Amino acid sequence: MREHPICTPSEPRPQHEPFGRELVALLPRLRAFLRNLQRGAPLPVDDLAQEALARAWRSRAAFDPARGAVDSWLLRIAFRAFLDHRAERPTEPLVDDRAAAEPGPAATAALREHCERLLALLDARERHALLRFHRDGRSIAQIAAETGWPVGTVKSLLHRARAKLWAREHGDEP
Amino acid sequence: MMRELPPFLQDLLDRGVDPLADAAARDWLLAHPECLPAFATLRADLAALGEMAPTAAVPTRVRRLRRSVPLGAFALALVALGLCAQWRTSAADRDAPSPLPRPDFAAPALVRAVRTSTSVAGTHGAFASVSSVGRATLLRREEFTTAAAPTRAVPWCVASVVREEVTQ
Repeated sequence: MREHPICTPSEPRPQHEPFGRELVALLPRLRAFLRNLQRGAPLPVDDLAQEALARAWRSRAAFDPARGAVDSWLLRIAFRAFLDHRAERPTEPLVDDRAAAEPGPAATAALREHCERLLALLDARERHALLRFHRDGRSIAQIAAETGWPVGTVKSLLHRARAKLWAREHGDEP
Repeated sequence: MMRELPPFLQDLLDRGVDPLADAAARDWLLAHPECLPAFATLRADLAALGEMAPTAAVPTRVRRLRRSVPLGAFALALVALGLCAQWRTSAADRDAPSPLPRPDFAAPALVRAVRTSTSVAGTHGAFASVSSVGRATLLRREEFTTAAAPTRAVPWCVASVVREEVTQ
């Protein structure tokens, strides 16, 4: 059984309690980040979040607010935990029950709705290039041959489409 | 601070390489933790696109075209089948006498009961028959075996009246 990382009885409470609360407040974001990292193989999201919080708590003395925000610091620790997990279990990931469950109609509808929201951010040519590449598995050269667009144009459309999706996440940040 | 998606990550994705499998990309991400949420979200979004059914977000015009292609192919197949059947029938009429005796047709007003049958390709077949006696109608399906498989001279499909009764 794991010891709760935040409530270690031997620690002087007044000094560390605010920091602990800050870490706990970041837990939803931490879990969302880890869930987004899972691709193909489901991740033990709760275990990894717990591991990240434990590592953050152990190395709390190394945190320097002048070097960056606590959320970036915590996400880097979680990313390291995720990479360690991948390295330890490259072919045998633990299974998060919810992620392993067969997607039902509601999940499929939610996925479609999500994708349509993403695609609405793009213009028609960017959307076409992105779908042909990432959904249909076509290469850039194949898309160019299909559409008659130069290879450089297809690449540029793909880059613009991805950049828009990337900027969406940055835009959501507070 | 807003940071753009770096070109080397774009290049990895263009080559179909998972950035997490690339040591330089992992190091860059660790050095820029503020980009980690955007990276994870982009990775999840691209994976979601890969899981999306092809028809989910295809523009309406393309969907309409996709729907019409199988329908067109089916219609063409039907036309080809009809032409083939007609050619075979006419070839059989031209080249050889009908293997089945052709009954003499009575005038419609004189027919009291009639049965039609349809044979199909191969040595095994079936036919549906309709018998009418007065106002009563009987639909029946029967199976049969032919003496030989159909040939060009003997068409694969024969529709004929095999029995009729004529009122006196």
